[in-house]
Amino acid sequence: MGAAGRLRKRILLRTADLLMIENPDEMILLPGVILHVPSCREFPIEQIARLMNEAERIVVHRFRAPVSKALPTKDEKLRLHGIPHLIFSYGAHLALIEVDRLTGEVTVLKYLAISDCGRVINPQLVEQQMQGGIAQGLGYALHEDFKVKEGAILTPDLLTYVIPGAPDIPDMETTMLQIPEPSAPLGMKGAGEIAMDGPLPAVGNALADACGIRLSRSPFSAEQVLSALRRQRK
Amino acid sequence: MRNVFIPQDLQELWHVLSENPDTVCYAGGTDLLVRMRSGALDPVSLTWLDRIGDLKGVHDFGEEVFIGACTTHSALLSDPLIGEHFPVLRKAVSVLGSPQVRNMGTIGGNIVTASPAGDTLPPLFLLEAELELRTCGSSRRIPIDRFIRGPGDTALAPSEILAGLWLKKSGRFNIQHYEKVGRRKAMAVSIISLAAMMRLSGEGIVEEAKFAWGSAGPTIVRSPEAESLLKGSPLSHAALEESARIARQAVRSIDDVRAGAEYRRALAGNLLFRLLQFSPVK
Repeated sequence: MGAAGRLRKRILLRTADLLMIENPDEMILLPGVILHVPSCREFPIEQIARLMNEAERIVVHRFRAPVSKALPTKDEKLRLHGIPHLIFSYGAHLALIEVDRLTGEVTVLKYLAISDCGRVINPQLVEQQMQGGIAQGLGYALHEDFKVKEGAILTPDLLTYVIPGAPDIPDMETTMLQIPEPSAPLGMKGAGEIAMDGPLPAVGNALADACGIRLSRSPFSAEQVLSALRRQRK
Repeated sequence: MRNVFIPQDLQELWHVLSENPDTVCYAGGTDLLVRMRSGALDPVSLTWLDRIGDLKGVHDFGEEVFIGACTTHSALLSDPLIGEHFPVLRKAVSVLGSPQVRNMGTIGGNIVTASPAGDTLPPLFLLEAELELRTCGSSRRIPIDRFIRGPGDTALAPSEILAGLWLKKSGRFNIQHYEKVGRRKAMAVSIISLAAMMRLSGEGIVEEAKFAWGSAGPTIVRSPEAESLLKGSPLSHAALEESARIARQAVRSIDDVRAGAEYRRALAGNLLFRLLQFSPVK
């Protein structure tokens, strides 16, 4: 963002010099052209670019996301990989599920996710990130099980390591809460990963709400759910 | 490099088979090609049966219906004869694999693969399917429960092909049900499956019942005892309770990466209670 802003300023200054326009602020950048607003005249950006040398055409800018100033530990034997970051995204997830009491199968019927995304530039991309995150998170909650026995992987392929398919994923409703992040350019922050954190606890809580069982190991396979239901009956 | 023969009719097929005794026949390839890719199989040559018209389609012969071995699952799903006379088979095919697998895979392939989890097998056992096996000069019929001997093990002789199967129309069973439990809703190998056919009186009395379980042992599991127990009694929770107890003992389930044996045993009984939905007495 910083680099783009500085390059924009440079282009407009250069154009102002060339055309003897007194105030560079009278111009705006449009796709492919520079528009001088008072006279409604347009200049191809390409022409200006040709007049600039390579060094002028390149702008480098650095921005570092803010990190925690407090050290997490004073223990010198612990090596830290990076420093804890400060900006967090938040989300709220709601799952409507159906539990089959004969088989223990859990079906997710409907899903609502709300993410605190900071300022959104491309809503379609954010929605896709959220839907993808929910689908992956539901796999984590209900299907994906990496099994190992005496060091040998029992689930070496996608036949045995089961991920959800289209029929397993419900209709999803997503809402982006655009709370600007004060420390970041344009108020943006990460919104990609937060969506996949919600499904496991949401489905777990839905199971507790629906049948009063609390499972602590994922995935909540039909086998595990049925055995918990049977224990509950005893 | 390996040769793939594509005979256009049975005459050409017999010629290919006599010239290439080690060739491996296939139709949809949904099992065979996967096994070849994983390295489990490396045939010298392949023979694709898809172009042989005599091995395809569903034909009405009055009391009996003939299904060509190379009929795809999708073709079965849209066939009116299957929908009318064999709802139990239709239901099983509708949950087999995925649309892509159903478009390529065939009923004959599902039978000769002889997987304990094959979705068409429990209904075909209940329907007492008779398989037509052919060689160049001969043809024989064999009941499906004698044809399938174990996982991947059938009575198919070398040089013999499965041409199709004969089914007696099952109209007297007014309740036909199939359910499979898998680890997701499509493209799932079943943990267990149940096919059920019942003749129920208007008052909800069970006059006849037949059950078959898939993925419950090396081959399809039947339980004549669980069936006969229900005979003459109303289709009720109490009546099913006893059959379910016996069913759980009848299955020879195993622990594998998909599920534990105990869960499979529980399911074998539990799935019977789904039949309560068909009871006219609520």
